[in-house]
Amino acid sequence: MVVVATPALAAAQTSAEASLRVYQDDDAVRVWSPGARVQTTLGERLTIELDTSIDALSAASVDVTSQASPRGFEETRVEGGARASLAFGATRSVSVEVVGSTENDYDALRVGLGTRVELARRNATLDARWTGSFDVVGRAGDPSFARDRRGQRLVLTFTHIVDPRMYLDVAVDGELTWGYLASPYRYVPVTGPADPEGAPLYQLPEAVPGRRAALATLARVRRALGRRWFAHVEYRLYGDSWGVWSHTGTGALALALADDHVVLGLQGRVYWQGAASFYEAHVVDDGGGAPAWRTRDRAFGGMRSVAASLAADWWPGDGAVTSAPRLTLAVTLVRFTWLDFPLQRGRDAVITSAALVVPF
Amino acid sequence: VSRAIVVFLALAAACASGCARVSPWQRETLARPPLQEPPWPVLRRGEQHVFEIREGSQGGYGAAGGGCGCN
Repeated sequence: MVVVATPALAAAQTSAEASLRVYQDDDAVRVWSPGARVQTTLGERLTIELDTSIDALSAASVDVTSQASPRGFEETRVEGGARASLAFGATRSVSVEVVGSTENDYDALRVGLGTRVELARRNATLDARWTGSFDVVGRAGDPSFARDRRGQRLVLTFTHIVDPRMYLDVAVDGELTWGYLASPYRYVPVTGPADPEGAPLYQLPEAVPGRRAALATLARVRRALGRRWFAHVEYRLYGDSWGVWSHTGTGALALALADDHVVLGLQGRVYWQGAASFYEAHVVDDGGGAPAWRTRDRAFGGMRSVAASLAADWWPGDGAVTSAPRLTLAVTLVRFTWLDFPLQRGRDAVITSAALVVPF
Repeated sequence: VSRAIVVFLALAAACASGCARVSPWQRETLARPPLQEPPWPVLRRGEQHVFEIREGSQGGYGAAGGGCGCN
């Protein structure tokens, strides 16, 4: 979300970024994600941005999220995006965005339109963005399987300068998706009434409603606590028509050193989620027929997660940070806990990220 | 959704018209890197991607990506 241009973006006419992210968890899932991004401003009004990234995933053990290959698998996802933003005067701009990605069983296309206006003598920014999604869900090893998934999303973001040391951000994010919203790989086990917790008698394909409406709201405060210390605190409330509710709290503390050429940060995040109304760890066959909607996707069960991150920024040289390269290193430790998923109670993961942004 | 948008716009209008104004020469601190959002873009992008795959909710931060790698 870019609601106020950063000094680096505002000063550099052209910048290039290379990044690498590595995800590793204790279930032997590893994802390497290299990325590249180029941004340039033409004629002081038109800004063009191109980016690409790859997710190279390998799972040496059973990954119960993606059950296409229960003995382990490797797959690659490639994403590319292009954005253009045109400024009208000092306070208004419009933007257009196209993002596509492809992998062996999922193709995605996003088209976005946005506008941003600065209000109240540039003390406030209102950003509105619409995104349409046009995805095709496939199934590994079955080239004839192709189902459409569509969506529309509207995001409104309001940023206000409260005082010379503090920002307030408020965002409303509504999304409607429809079409094939289930996973072609996921099944719900069915047990008998004599032994409801026992071995499944058979399995039923996952079945979920064909529409899902979701709304997320967020409030964030960014404040300088002194000459060197800065804090970000945010809360997100989410709810959707499938009965999923969640609360997310995030807090970050940053320490600026060496005239802002070094910034060290500590961030914490807690997440609590209630289950979808039709989530079932298993279904009991008591002769009454299977429920119309059923899923055992652990992402729709009750869950919690806790994450802690360390981050460091370095702008080498003695000049202004707006014209210096930026090197960022970050490490995040995450603990996911599923409250009603017998196959897996939790998972620990490490996300390591590095990025170098070079202005020209 | 429509109610949330109305509340959002009312809040935005109230703040934009009634809150204190900060002049350009008072914005030195506001322009410093640790106060930008997100403070570490690469950290936000990486975390968001993982959380959207592992958790049942998404959105609210304003970013729109392509695909999920989670089918």
